[in-house]
Amino acid sequence: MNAKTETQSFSIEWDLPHAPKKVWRALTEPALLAKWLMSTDMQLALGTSFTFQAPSSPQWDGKVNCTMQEIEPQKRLRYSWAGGGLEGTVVTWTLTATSTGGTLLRLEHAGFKAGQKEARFFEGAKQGWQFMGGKRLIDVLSEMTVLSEIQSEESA
Amino acid sequence: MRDLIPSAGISQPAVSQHLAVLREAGLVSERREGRLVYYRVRPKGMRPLVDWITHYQAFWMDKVEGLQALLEEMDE
Repeated sequence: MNAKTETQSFSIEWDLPHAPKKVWRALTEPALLAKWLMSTDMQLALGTSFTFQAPSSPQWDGKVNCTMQEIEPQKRLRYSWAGGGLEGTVVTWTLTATSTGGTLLRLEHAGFKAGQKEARFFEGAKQGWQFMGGKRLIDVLSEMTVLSEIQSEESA
Repeated sequence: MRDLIPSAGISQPAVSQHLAVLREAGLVSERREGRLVYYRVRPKGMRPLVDWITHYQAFWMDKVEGLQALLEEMDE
């Protein structure tokens, strides 16, 4: 495998008026994750596999397969993220305490490869994942403004 | 290319250069017919990457809105 593959990532930041301890709980406790993300059997143990389960559709079983890669309580959480034809991506959450007692929450989603097949997942996702409040994709995107960036990097 | 120039707002040599870069990257393919060259976006080149990233940007923006609502409800 000498061929260089270009991958892309993006990151988004949120300035939250809640302490890192509380944000960490919401990012790691399955009962809380089920309320804002998806139902999951996540365990805080390095190297363990777990899934997120979205509603399934004829095109996609709704499973996102993950492996826990890094755990630094109240600071950093990293796991692989694959499913429905998307492979080799990694999700990293970074929590930084702010001077006002809140948390700067940063998400990086990395490892998107050019030419990766779109597959059924994307179609399935449109049906299976209900955007909260019935928002259209374009509305959500218009709120993203400057905090999101796309980075390009070369990896061996 | 004749069709591209008015909408791109740049000169023909500049458009040629851009297309050459895109072709080398495998993002467009070309077909020659006499003096005309037809370019088309290769669906396996550009589209999937853009779509996955666009999809997940919207996904996380939306989900973290839910996270923020949940944090408001949670005890300290």
